[in-house]
Amino acid sequence: MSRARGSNVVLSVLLIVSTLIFGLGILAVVTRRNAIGMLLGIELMLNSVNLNLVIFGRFSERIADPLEGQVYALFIMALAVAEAAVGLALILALVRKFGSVDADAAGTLKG
Amino acid sequence: MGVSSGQTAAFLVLSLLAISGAFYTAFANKLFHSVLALLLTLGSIAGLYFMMGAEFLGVLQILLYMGGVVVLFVFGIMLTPARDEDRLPPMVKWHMVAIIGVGLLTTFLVFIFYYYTGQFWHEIRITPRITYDKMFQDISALLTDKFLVPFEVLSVAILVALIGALYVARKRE
Amino acid sequence: MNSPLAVPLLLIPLLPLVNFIILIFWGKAAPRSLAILSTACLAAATGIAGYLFLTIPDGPPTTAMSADWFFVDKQFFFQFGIMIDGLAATMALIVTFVSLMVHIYSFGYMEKHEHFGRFFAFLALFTSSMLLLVFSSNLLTMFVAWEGVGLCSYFLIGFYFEKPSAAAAGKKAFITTKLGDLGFITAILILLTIGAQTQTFAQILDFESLKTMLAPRNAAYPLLKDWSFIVGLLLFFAAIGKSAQFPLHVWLPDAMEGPSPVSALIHAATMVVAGVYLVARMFFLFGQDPNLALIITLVGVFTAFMAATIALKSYDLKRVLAYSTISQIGYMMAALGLGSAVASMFHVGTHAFFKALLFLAAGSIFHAYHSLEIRRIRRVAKFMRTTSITFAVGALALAGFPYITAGFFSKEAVLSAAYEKFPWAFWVLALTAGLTAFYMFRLIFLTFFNYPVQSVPKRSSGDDNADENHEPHESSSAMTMPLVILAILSVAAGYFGWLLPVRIGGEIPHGGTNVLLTSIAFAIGGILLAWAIYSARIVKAEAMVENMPTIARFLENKWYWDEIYDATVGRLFRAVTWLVAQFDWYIVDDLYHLFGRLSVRAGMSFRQMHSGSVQIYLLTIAIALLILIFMYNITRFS
Repeated sequence: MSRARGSNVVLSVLLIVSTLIFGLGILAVVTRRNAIGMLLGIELMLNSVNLNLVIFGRFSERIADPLEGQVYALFIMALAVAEAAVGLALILALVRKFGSVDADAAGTLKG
Repeated sequence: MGVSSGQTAAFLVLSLLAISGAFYTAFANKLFHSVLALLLTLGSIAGLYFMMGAEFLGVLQILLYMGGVVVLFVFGIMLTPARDEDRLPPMVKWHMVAIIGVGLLTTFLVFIFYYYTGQFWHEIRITPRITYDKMFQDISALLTDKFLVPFEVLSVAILVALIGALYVARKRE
Repeated sequence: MNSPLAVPLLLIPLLPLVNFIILIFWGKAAPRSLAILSTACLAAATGIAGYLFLTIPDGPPTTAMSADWFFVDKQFFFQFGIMIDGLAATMALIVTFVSLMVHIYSFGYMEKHEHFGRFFAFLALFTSSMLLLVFSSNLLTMFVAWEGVGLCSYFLIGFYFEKPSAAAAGKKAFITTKLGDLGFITAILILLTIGAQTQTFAQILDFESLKTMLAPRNAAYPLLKDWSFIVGLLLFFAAIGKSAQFPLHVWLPDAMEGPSPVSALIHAATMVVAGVYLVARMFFLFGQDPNLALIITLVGVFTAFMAATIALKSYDLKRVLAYSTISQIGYMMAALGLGSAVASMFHVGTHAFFKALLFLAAGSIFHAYHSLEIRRIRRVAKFMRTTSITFAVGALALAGFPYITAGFFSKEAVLSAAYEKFPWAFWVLALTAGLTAFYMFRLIFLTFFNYPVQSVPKRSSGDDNADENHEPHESSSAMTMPLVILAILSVAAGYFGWLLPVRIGGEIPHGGTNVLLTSIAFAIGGILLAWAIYSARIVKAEAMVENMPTIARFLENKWYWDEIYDATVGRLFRAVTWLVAQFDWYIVDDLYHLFGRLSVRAGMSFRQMHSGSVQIYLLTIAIALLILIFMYNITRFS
């Protein structure tokens, strides 16, 4: 493989960082039994996506304006907040119905 | 290895903070600790944003995420019977495994790095070459010009989310 | 290649075949009428056969029809062909006539049976196959008919299929003859290979072509000549199977489980002589090789002697007749081995008549007494006049009573052929003739009169289940008429023997006064000895048995052949089948159980995808995403 160029290396390192955060977010969702813990993982994932967008906004040669990356990330951020709110509301409803925050407690699907 | 610029150092610190924060979010035993770790991660990422010239976004990150979402989570923990889990068994054996695993992973990553770049160290420059002096105005221009439709849809979506959350979480008689 | 003879010739086997199809499908609806139709057609076929017998030109056979049947590889063609010559015409006349007699007899014998129609159907199918066998012009057609008669034999032996012994006997017959058929097929395959190599594929199975190719002065087919011994041996092995010679004779006594008309038709007159017919057809091959001829003679003579000794100590009426058949076919085979096809076919003809007569009469006795156990049947002469008289005539013919029975002439011909060639064969065959006379008249003296028996056994397996209290009476005319006709023929056929050399070619051997006197002496001597022991009680049979217990037991158990076969071949087969069964159970079955288990496991693991756990869903999505990314980028990792 050809020797990486300078800006490529920086880009790669940044992307590795954001990927790691994304992977850890998935781990958090998949392995936590607690519903709130799962939401934390989801927030991590969304953040890593935002980071990705900003990175590409900064480093990409095709996009004329790096601000576009920021605006895109802005939308996602807004939606993430909204989603966190709705998610927590749902968790409250879950608690009222099943009495616990465990994801397994809400399992009425047989199988 | 000589530190060539403060940028590299800053970047390294911020990245490591973010990653370890994320790790701790996933694997902390106590739920509240996870939330705090998330806070740390969000802050580090905000720092990265600032470094990359996305100041507006960085500010928003601090305001909305760290000030909004984390608070929401804290409320959630307080209002629900959330219990702490045993994420990792507190045995010495596991710590050894973790340390060895991390060591191996690091070696592997270093090796990959060397294989592709031919050196162990690289300067990281991520600050933008151009300065934004009219950032707010430019962003507003984008929002109302190119991204107008997503902007309007976003406001509708937030409204819907608001109403939905209120409805779902209302008190039952 | 059709000749004007084709139509009448084809009609002979076709008529019974059509009758078979009619009877099989509509036999239940109108059994008697259809059976009458079948018999009428058979009578017509007999008429045609008789006409052909009288008018067929002498000399080489006329191929009546030859059709391309199927081919392999677009170049190797197999023919289906029928022909007629003197030998075939003779045989055909015998087959159709005896079959006709059996048909008429069966009207009376099978009258009350619920499967009346099925019986006549199989009789028709058998007659058709046997006629096809007789008229075949090549080995392949003959093989097809060979298997056909074997199949019919299986059907008819196991006709009373509810009886386990009958079903087992049918199986035994089929399997034993199938062993011989292996020889037949191997011989055909060898010939085909030779044919393919020497560009003679089209003619290699045809009888006439083989005759020319194997002619002594023809040096053009050395490969064929080299293999002719093996081919002949294999074909003789097939003949041994079908004609119940040693070592494949074990099926014929068991085949007596079938109804008596079946025994008369198949196991006395026609199918069992199919082997003899095959050897006669291929006589140009067997006659040329002195080794083959010696083997044939040895087998024939040994079988004749062995079977006669077993008949001495049999207590079942039909079994005595069965062993007698085996013995007489030994005579026919020996005659062929000794070089006289004419003597052999002469004996085939006379034997067909008197043996069929004997079997039909035995059936008549069984119908009246519901048992075949000799020690139970008493006073047949008093209760059943016609049956007893005709039976006696048949027995005299079988024994070879001088000059007034046909059996005398044909047996004398065989003995003469032996006398000219191998004296040892002559003496053994003559002694066997004496034994034959002895055991037949033992039968007569024991059953026809009131001979007191020491130990009357309880019901044996051959007995009918009917009540035995009513007095036996003579059978219906449908049954007695064929008996009378066959009895007349048993006397008269000997005088028509001169027709045979004209038709078949060759001469009836006459050995001179020595042979004549010896045969007369043995025949009458046997009868007198039987009279002395069983009627006049001059020598007590029980005393003889006491003095020679080992021999008596040896004979009574049929020389222990069944036991020997079971211990050797049977054991080997059971070991092989055990091995195969292990393979089947533990490897094949487990393999397919494995697939079942794998499916279940796979299902169980796939089931987790629908478990309702959000986390599993997310994990699945993440993994799928990873795979997609990997696949998308795989071209870059080069």
